[in-house]
Amino acid sequence: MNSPLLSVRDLRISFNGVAGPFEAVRGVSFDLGREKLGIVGESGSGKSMTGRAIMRLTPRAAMVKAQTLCLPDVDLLQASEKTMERIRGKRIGLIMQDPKYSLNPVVSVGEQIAEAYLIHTRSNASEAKRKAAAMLEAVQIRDPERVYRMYPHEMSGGMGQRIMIAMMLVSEPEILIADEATSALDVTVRLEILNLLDDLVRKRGLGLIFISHDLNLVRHFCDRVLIMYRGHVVETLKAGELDQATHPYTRGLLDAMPRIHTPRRRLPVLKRDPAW
Amino acid sequence: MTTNSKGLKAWLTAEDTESPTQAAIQNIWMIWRRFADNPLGLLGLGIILLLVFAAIFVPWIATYSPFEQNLQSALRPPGGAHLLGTDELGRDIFSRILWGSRITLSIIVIVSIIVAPIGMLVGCFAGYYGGWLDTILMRITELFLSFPSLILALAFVAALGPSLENAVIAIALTQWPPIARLARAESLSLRHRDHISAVRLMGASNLRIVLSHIVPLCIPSVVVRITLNMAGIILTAAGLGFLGLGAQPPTPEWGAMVSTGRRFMLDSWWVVSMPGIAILTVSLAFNLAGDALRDALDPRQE
Amino acid sequence: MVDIMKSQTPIIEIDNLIVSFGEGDDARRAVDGVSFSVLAGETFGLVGESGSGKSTILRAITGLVPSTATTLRVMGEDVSRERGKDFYRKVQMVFQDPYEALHPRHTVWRQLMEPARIQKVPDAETRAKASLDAVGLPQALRWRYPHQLSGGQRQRVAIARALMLKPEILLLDEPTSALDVSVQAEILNLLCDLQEEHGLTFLMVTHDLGVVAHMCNRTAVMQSGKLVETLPVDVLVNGGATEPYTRKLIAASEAYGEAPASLSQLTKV
Repeated sequence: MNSPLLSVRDLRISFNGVAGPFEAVRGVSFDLGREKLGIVGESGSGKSMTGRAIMRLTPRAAMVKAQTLCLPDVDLLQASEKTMERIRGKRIGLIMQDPKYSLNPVVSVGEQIAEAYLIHTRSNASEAKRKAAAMLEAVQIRDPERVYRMYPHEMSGGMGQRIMIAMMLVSEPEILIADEATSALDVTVRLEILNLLDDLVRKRGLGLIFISHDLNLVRHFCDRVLIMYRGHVVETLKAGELDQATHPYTRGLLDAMPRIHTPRRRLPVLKRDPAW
Repeated sequence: MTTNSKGLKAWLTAEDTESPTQAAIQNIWMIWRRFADNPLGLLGLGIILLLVFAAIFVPWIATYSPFEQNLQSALRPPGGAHLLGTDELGRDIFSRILWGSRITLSIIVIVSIIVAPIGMLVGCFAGYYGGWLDTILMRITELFLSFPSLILALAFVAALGPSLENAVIAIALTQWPPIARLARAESLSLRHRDHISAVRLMGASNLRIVLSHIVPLCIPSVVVRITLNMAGIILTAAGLGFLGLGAQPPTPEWGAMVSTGRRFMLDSWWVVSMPGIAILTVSLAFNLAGDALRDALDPRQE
Repeated sequence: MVDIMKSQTPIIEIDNLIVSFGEGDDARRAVDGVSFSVLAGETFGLVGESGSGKSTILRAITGLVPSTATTLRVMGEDVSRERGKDFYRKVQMVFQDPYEALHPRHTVWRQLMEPARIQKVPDAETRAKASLDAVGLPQALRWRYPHQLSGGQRQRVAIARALMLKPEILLLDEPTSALDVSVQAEILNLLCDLQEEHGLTFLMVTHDLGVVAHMCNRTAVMQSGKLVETLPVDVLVNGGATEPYTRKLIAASEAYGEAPASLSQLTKV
């Protein structure tokens, strides 16, 4: 991997809870190249918080520390809020689980995409409109002209997620963070969305951080996988080599999954070791 | 002492609760912790507590009788023997405001006691049952809502005759409809929630569901709403007093005090301002406390 | 997975079940003429994508949504019109989101006692303690509120509550889809144990074919309110499904299941 798009070294995020300080992320390090990097973990593993920290969108109560958290030319920890506003959406895009919460309900989706383009580039309204329509086509929406004028509530989950992707890609970011972006979708729709993401990442040479709880999904979709447990990375593997995972947590997760073809009497239960 | 307070703290935050009382107290403790995070809310609460304290201990705090006239020292400016000055009959304003706190407080308490159950029951039954019951109850509610509340209160007092008791009834009449609407909205969203469905699947009757599941869940928002409405109640009471339809002279009701002081406003500003400031401070305190209470009761709102 | 059916007696019989939402021109049939029966002691799966009407069937059986049916019988008793208080002693339900399903301001203990109070069960406290034991929760947890519990613990409380009335049938509405994989394994194991111990019948709604393969004896596949086909699970997983929709569903699930296949290849299905 030459010259990473994003470097993270020893990222730590802590909160002051009622029962004393609590570290949600405890020293996460990784480099992101032009690849699909999966971050897998269960709830409370700190995977989403890591994604948020990259965008500097952590809750106000969170204290973020790191040795390094930077793009090739910008130190994300030191950057002013104004710089961050230019980076969010323009250089780093974020796709979340439910597009309904990320889209404005009273503006047509086409206009929202066009607006996203206008905010981040110097162009005029007609060009933005053309670009938005082209983007709808790029995310394989049939009949983009009609969809351009539709409102978020008129969309199915899969279509909403396509819109979100279109909106994030219109300003041609270098990095895309997908936080459980396909978890709410049905299996067949999920495949289409993954395929689309895969395609776009390859064509545009993006770095994709794919945050998910679904180990099986990530291993088939991503190039590399970080497995997180209680705020730190327990293991980093090439996606194809997940079967050779050595860490008991990773192994436990893989075993606990019900399988379609190899039925078992009981599912092995993960034994959690406090030392992890 | 230190070990004792440490023990108390541990008891309040212990993961393994030993009794339902401890669990309930822990819950209240958590709400208090969130409430205490809000300095403005604490300020509001402080003022309210001060008001309650004053109302209880007036006979010992007040320096003069609220009715004692002394025409020789009429319209004295604040300072000296009269902390907040005297009114046109030479009565000590500070003492009158203190005695007035009892009236204000009792209006608030009585109105709340009348309004909360009526509004909550009407709203919860309408929201949960829906259909014709909802239609009838809500049309009645809207009938009350369609008049501006002060006008409605005025009409009732005018019909029943001016007195403090009638003012309280009139205010209660204008205050229950918003509570009913709120409770209805809450129960509408609650009735399709899974935990209500779960109770239905235990074979519970509708009456039981409303009374022991819907109503308790509406209480926090109703309490918050009533706290926020306190300001309105105080102002309406003062307004009725001001118009001479509430407490009758020489009762030291704050609104009535403003009303009588109005004639001397240009020369003796304190006669109007002092009770006015009292009204303002207490209304504001209830608003601040209500806001903080809302945040404290619903941690998920963040 | 149990290979031998425990009996051939149908415990739930459904014929031509229809559930409509909306009125007049807007009316939409969420469940459109579904027929199937569940045998005593088996685990019957209802599989489908969101909006296929699978959860609505459970709600129709329990009367949470109004429905019409030619036949709707539970343990031989016609429940298509009315359900007595006794019905809920036989049939209980476990919901998808355990946080939503528990009363937010009641302690665990009160959640468990509520069904006993409503049904006037005499030995309520003993039962509640036994229920906590049965789902593997320590008694020390009983004064906690739902927000003080983990997702898995909440679902255990919900299951314990369902067991309070000693039902014959448990309706499971995606009982593990809101949980982490490792917790899902615990809950699925727990359900299997309970079934064995109490001879329960499960009617289980899920979108996860892995869960179906693990838990169910037979399954029905649903698509937009209609039942596509009903088949034994071993036939389903061994590629014996005849309907194209079922095959598509399996292929999509396998795409990132244990079958090593590349994504691009599989999406062309």
